[in-house]
This record gives sequence, C-alpha cells and structure tokens, in this order.
Amino acid sequence: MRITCPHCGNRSLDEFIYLGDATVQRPDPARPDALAAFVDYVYQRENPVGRHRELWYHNAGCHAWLVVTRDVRTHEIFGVEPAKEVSLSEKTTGAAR
Amino acid sequence: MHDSILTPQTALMGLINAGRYGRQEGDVGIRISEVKNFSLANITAFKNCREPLEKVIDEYLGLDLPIGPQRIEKNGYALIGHGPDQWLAIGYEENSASIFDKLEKASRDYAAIVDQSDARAIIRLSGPDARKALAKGVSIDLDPSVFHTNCTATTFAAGLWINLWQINDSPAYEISVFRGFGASLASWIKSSAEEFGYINQ
Ligand SMILES: [Zn+2]
Repeated sequence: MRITCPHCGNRSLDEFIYLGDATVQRPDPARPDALAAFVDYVYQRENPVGRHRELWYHNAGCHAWLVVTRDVRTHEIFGVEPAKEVSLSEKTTGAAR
Repeated sequence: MHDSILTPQTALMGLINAGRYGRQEGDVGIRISEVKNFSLANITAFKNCREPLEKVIDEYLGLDLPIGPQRIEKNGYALIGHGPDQWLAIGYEENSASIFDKLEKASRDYAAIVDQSDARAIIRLSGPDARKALAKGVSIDLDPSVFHTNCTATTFAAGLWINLWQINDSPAYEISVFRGFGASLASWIKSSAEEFGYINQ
C-alpha cells in the first residue's frame, strides 16, 4: 500500500503511522451527558467493511496528520487530505463529514 | 595550569578520506564529499504569515519561498521545502550565519527561525551511478521524470531520517541528517557506492 501525501507525494506505507478512526469528534466536556459521550468517543468504534476515513501520521516525511479515505478490504485509497484542513472545515461547517 | 586547544571538527571528519574505493576497474561511478562550513536554519512560518515572510526572505536572501517539496537556489543560498510552511535555509558560503541571524530578527512576527548549522551533516553525492546507489536505501521514486533537479524529499534512507534534494542533472544530490547520524549515513553511502567504484573528495 502506498499513500500520496498532499505535502510530500507518493510514499510507501512504512513512512506512516496509523492512528485510527477519523470520523469521531471530541465531545463538548460541558454538555450534561459528557461522561457517556466521552466513553463513546474514546472506546466505541464502528468496524465497517469497505470505505472508511482514518487518521494517519507522516512520520518519515512532513510530520503532518492526514485523513485517508480507504477501502479497508481492498486498500484502495480514494483521497488524502491534511487533517488540519479537515478539522478547520468541520469547525466552520459544524459537522463531521 | 594545563593549556587546551579546541579545534572545530566537521560532522564527518575522518569518515570521507580522499581516494578511490570500491570497484577499481573502469570509470568511477560516484563522487562523495562532505559539505563543510555551511550555515543552516530551520524556518517554520506562523499561521497565515506566508506573504509577509516571503517579503523579508526576498529582502535578505533574494529568494522566493518554494511551494511544496522544491528547492530554490541563488547566490550561495538555498531554500528547501520540507513540510507544510516549513523550509531549510542553507548558506553555502562562510559567514552566512550572520545573515540568518538578521533574517531571524526581521521575521520574528512571521516565523520561527532556528539556527541548526552545527546540528546537521550534509553529504554530496554525484556521478552517473549516484541515483542507483541512492535508490538502494530510499523508497521514493528517483526517476528523473518524477524526481529531478531542485526536487526535495524528507524520507527514510537505510532507516535514517533524511532530507534529500537534487542539485543538478549529472545527477548530484545532497543529503542532510542530524549530526549524530552522520557516521551512519556516510557508512551506508560508502557501502552502497562500492560496486560502482567511488572517489572521496
Ligand atoms: Zn508528508
């Protein structure tokens, strides 16, 4: 598997570190059900077949966090975006994609 | 009292000794040398500060900021893109450190500029077989159709974290590592170059 980093270009898998699900969003600690929401946020994960959004870190390259949209069965990659941009656009639109 | 004299040493002193090594028959495939007496600073632009930073850099170094993993060189200075809003500035002439010092003061509102001159080792590798020797330890594609003069890469080579850039079409490359990894880099490059025959300069 190779990942095309938006900053560095096409690189081999061993340059990256996998973190996990990029679709979860940190809950507001002030909300009344914060404890339950945090338990979900930290521990509960879907285990989807097919297309998934994941956080990867370009450890050997630019040191940027990336959101990779990948088919977890075939390893086909549909898109790689800087996590910073994804996060900023979520803040302005107020929703995860 | 005992008198002691401190002598400055380059990062690779004693590791790249002049002479021909490796394969003895035929033409030499590779030339290896240590880049000495350079100044090097790491530049990280603050949020939304690229434009004002670009102006200051143009004023002090006469260079544009490269976009993406590219290198721009002029008048003994080079800027090397190595990440989003991050560059290495290299001065190949002695005394370029004082310019970086002035640059740092002039761009304090736009970027963090940190002198790393003594923290790095740089090896230059050139010749018709330089690409082949390099390809043995680097997993990026070095074919000239995708990696050519003034392309840069931050990647692994033989397990070492390196900054790599191509300086001409001969081809010639420069590789920078943190100083403490210089000996490992030199050792890998020399063994990789052996089959082609190499000259240390
Ligand atoms: Zn990268």
